[in-house]
Parts: sequence; structure tokens; C-alpha cells
Amino acid sequence: MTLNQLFEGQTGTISALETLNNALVRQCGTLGLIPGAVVQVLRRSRGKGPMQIKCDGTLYAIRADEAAQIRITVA
Amino acid sequence: MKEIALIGSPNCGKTTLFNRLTGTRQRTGNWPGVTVERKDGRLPLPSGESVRVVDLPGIYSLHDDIQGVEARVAHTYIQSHNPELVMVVLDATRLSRQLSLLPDIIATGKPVILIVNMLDSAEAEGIQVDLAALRKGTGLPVAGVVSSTGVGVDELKQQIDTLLLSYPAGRVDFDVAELAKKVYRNTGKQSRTEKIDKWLLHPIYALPIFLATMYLLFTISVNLGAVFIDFFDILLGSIFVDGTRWITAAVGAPQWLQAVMADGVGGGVQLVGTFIPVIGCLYLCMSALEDSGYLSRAAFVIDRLMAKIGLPGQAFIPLIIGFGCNVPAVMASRALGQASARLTTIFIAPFMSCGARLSVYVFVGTAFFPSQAQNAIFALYLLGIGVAVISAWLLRRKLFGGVVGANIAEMPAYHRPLLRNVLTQTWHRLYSFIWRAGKRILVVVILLNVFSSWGTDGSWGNQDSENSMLSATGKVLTPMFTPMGVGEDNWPATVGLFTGLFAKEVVVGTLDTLYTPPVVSEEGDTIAAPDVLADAVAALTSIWDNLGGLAGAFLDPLGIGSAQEDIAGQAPGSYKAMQSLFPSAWGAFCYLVFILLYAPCVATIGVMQKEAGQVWLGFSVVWSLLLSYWLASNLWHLSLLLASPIVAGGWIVGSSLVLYLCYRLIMSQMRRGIRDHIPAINV
Repeated sequence: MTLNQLFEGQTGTISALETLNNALVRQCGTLGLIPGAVVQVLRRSRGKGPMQIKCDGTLYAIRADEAAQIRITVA
Repeated sequence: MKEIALIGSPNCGKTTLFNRLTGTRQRTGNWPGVTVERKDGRLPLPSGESVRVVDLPGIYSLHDDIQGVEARVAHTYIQSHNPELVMVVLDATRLSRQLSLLPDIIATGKPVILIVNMLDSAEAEGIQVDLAALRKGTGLPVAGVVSSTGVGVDELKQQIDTLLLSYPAGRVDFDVAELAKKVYRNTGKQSRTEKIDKWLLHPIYALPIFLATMYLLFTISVNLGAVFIDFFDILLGSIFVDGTRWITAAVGAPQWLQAVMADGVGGGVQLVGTFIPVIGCLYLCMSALEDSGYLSRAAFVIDRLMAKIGLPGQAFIPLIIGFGCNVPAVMASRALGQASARLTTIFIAPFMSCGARLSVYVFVGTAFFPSQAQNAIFALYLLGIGVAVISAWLLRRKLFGGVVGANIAEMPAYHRPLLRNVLTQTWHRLYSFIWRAGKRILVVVILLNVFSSWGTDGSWGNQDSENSMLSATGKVLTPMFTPMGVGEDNWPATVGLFTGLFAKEVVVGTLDTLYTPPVVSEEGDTIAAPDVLADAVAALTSIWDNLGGLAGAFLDPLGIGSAQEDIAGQAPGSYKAMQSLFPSAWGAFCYLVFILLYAPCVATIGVMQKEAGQVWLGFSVVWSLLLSYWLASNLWHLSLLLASPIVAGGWIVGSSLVLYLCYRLIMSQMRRGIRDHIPAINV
């Protein structure tokens, strides 16, 4: 499943970045959203709106279409 | 002087520490060739020696090309400037993540000290940070501080002193993840920030809170700032315009020199000065919001709307500021990380109808359609927004189509804004406006003023009269503007377009003067010294008078009502002439449409050139000129469609074709320009 499919409060581990968007890969890399990182979804908005996620104590805003490119495994 | 560098990720409290260490002994500027702010300051150490502290831009890694410019600036600085000591600032609440910056910096081989900041927040959130383990695990000197309160800063200074004398060996190789586990223990408790977010990002309340915040930001900054505009206007006018004229006349300078010095240089200083209060207030509010951490939440709330025109949520802030004044709007777009988003925002910000343009709408609107003025003004605001949206959409699709960005943004923890940070930040931005944008504004003002003062007969001092070169040019150019509903003999309207470049509200003064039948005044040759003291009193009184009007401002933030009262109070005699020279009320409306869009004022042009470069500014101005001319002239011809369908229809079709061709040409030029020039601007 992908990051945008988690519901609010759910936690998962990033397993892969499935994207051809190099900018996204690099940005995820510098922010620590890399395979193995644990992320929690704090807030989702309706439709294509942004999500608020937490990773390693830091909060991030990420758009749903970008979250859809991040593959997650839920423990 | 020895140099030491401050480095750390964004929002780690680096700037707070920098302000704490250097106080008011700071300088700002730009890193060579880029629009990234460079700050350095002097830090007196306990030993009596002083060192220069350089505040490097906030970065997540030294080799990351997402943040591109900032990372490169930091990397180049550390490599080439050989700082004596690199202070790495780490946010204690997020220590495990922050440590990942460390290997990059250690790899540069420079002496490093780790500064763990925000120990108080960490404690409040139940996070345990083991400084001793950090010291042992890395073999590097470690200091713990709370830079917001100053705890640990004196010890830090002493430590810097010692380290500059001799830097201890004993660096240990370490694994970041392992180290993080040893040093940092999170209790997993819900943080204060998350609790506040529950309300500020609430599915229902988030939007009203956002709107209320924006309303307050706008009302406070624009209306509170406006209270002090007259003060600066009167005082600076008295000193720099009248004073300079008196001095140059007293030393017997020729008339042209008097005109250049007094109206050009003095007038330019006066103009820049009148922008100070609004821009200062705006930055005060912005800096406070920024420091609190709410700005990134505002961006989150509005993100979905902004995504529709291809911009990140953060772009909303500059645009809303644009309704007050375009100058800070363009400057605020600097906060946008992506070059394409930043350029787009700078491009569309001038379409936001600013407060100065409102006075023109009211002046012309009250003369032609007094009962419908409110609606006409509202329509103009909407038109500006519409043009901005369409322009942004076109840029996104046609120009930046190939640019795929990433829109992941960190949302910093909430803090109580620190007065010291807010004031320092405001001052730096204001200073940057006054000196760097001010210079450019001054040049344009001198040119325009010389033209309006220089008479066709070679005399000087012909401002706002029929004899100036500017008026003569206006007469020649008027036929160009008849297709948009400016009457054939309506040359004052044309002149207004030129003087409107100074600042849009100047249009009112120009129209008022030029439409009023000339009163022949017998002015003597003697130029009296300005009574600066009396003017200063008048300036101070204006603050008091304007403060009285402030209460009403909260109900009418755009000031439409009060602007109408002002005009009604004057009952200008110029209305008759104006009404006879414009062919119809609709023609006047078309003129207003042109005023709204034709070109930003010189102050905005100045900052646009500074923030986006010459080429982008050129595109923007050409685009606005073409579009405004097309829009205004077509609106006018629409009204002629019934009377003379062939001419009007022909104009509409013809001009639309021309616009389309120009659009294709501009776009292809811009695409080339983007490739050639954007990197040159950002490198």
C-alpha cells in the first residue's frame, strides 16, 4: 500500500519510493523519508489535499499525489 | 578578524542563536550572485578577542541539489573561506534526524563544535538528550544551550575561546543511526505542537482561523502602516525636496540642477520613505507569524487551492500581501524554495490590486459612476485576480511544464515569537528594501521627474502643467490610447499613465491638477527655506489624525469607504473637465482596467529586478502591457459593437490575433530565456 492510503493515526514503514520524479526522490532523501523510516499519518484532507505526516520527530506536509508514490508496509 | 560559521538545518534555532551571540552587531547582504541572504556579525569573546560569526543558510545536507542554492552556498563557504570553527546547531527535540547532517560537515575536515539547542523544549516534551554520550560517541566538543532564553550561551562563548586557542584531537568514527539511539530517547508523548495543530489544522476550524489570521495580518499591517505614511511624506518632503531646492537655489545652481536634485533625488528619497511604514508593519507581522510557526500551517490549509494553479501553498502569502502593496509581495516570494514557483509568484503578484490603485479607482469611479463605484471597484479586484490565475496557469502549463517539483515541506514546531528575532528580521528586510530596492527606485524617479519638470520651451519646474516634456509626450501618445476609450483630447489621462509609474496613487494627483483649469500664479523667484520644524509638527499631527481613522479600518480593510469620503470631501473641480474628456463612463472604466494591469510601479519594478533579474522583469512588464491594452481596448470596443459592428468586431478579432501572436512569441522567448537566464540568476 502507499502512504496516502494510510488512515489518520496509522503508522507504517517506508519500503520503497516508486517514482520517476527525481526531485521527489532527492527531497525525500534529504528529509529522511527513506526506506526503513517509520512514518505516522497525523492528518489527511479531503481529495487531493495535503497530508501531515510525522517522521523521526519532525512534522511534514506532503501532497497526496506525492504520498501516493511512497510505498509503505504496515506492521 | 577570525571567522567562525554557524550551520544547521532549517528551523533548528540557528538564527535565534546567531541573534543571541551577535546582538545588534550584524550586517546583512546577499551571497555573491544569488538571492540568498548572507548575515554575519561580530561576537566579542570573554578573552577580549572578537570573531566574526557567519550565519550560513539552513540546510539538510551539504550535497543536496533540491535546496540547490543554499547547500551550494554553505558548501562553497566552508571549503573556500576556511572558518576557524564550524558550529553545528542541532535541535534537541529532533536530534536523531538532525545528526544526519553531521558526516557531511565532518568530511570537510574543519574543526567542529556541536551545539544542542532547545533543551527546554526537549524537556517539556519528555525527550531525553544525553550530551555526554554525544561527546563520547563523536569525540567532538559539545555544548548545550537554550538560545531563546540564553541559558548556556556564556559557557558556549568560553568554549569557543578555548577551542580557537587549541582544538582537541580525538575524533571518533561513528554510525549516525547507532549514535542517535544512544543519545536520544523519545517518550512518544504527543508534543505540544501536535496539540496546537489539532485546532489550527482542524478539518472545520482550520479555514476560519486561517481567514481570520490573514485578515488580521492585512488589516494591521496595511492600515497601521498607512497611519505613518503622511508623517514620512511630509517630513522627508520638507527636508529633501523643499530643503534641497532651497539650498541649491541659495548656492546659485542652475535651474536644471535644482530640478534634478530637488525633484529627482529628493523626490525619490521621499517616495522610498513613504513605503517604509507599510512595508515595515507588514514585515513586523510577517516575521512574528513566521517565527511562531503558523506560516507553514497557513500554507497547508490553502495548499489545495494553490495546487490548482500549479503553485505551492506558501505562495498564497505573497499574493495576499499584494493587495496591500506589491513591493513586499514580491520580496516575500523569496521564501519559496522552488525557482519556478518563486518566479511565477513574482510574475503574478503585481496583478493583485494594491492599495495605491484603489485611490485611482475611487477618484475616477466617483466622477463617472458614483452609485456603482463599489461594484466597479470589486469587479476590478476580481479582474486582477482572474488575470493572475490565468497567467499562473499559462506559465505552469507552457513554461514550467517540464519542471516537476516536490512539495514536501517541513512544518516547524510552534514557538512564542521572540521579540528580538522579529525586530532583527524586520530591520534586515526593511534595510534591504531601503538600500537595495531604493537605489533602483531613485534612478527611475529622477528620470521621470526630469521629464515632467523640463518644459518644451527649455524651462524647468513645469510639473503637472501642459508645458512639460511629459505632457507633450502624453499629447503625442494619446491616439494610442483612444482605442480603449480615452477621448482624443484627453491627454491628461495619458500623462497620468506615465506619472502612475511612480506610484499608482500619483495618477490621482496628476489627473486632478491637469484637469483643473490652470490658475496663473505670480510666483516670485525667491525660494523660501522650508520650515522644517512646522512641517515636523504637521507630520506628527498627521499620525494622530490618521490614528483616529484606524478604528473604522477593521470593518473596511481595503479602505474603500474612507477613500470615497476623502474624495467627496474635496469635491474636486477637475470632475467636469474629466467628464467631458472621457467619451463615456464605460470609457473611464476601461481606463481603470488599464491602470490596474498596465505595469507595476517603479518600486515594484525595482524589487522585481532585484529578486528575479532583468530578463524576467522584462517578460513580466511586456506581458502586462500587452494584456492590459488588449483587455481595456476590447472592453471598450465591446460597447461599440452595436453602433459600429464592423469596426468594433474587426478590432476585437484583429487585436486578439495580435495578442495571440505576441503570446506565442513571448512564450518561445521565455522558454529560451529560462534556459539561458534562470540558472544565471540562481547560481
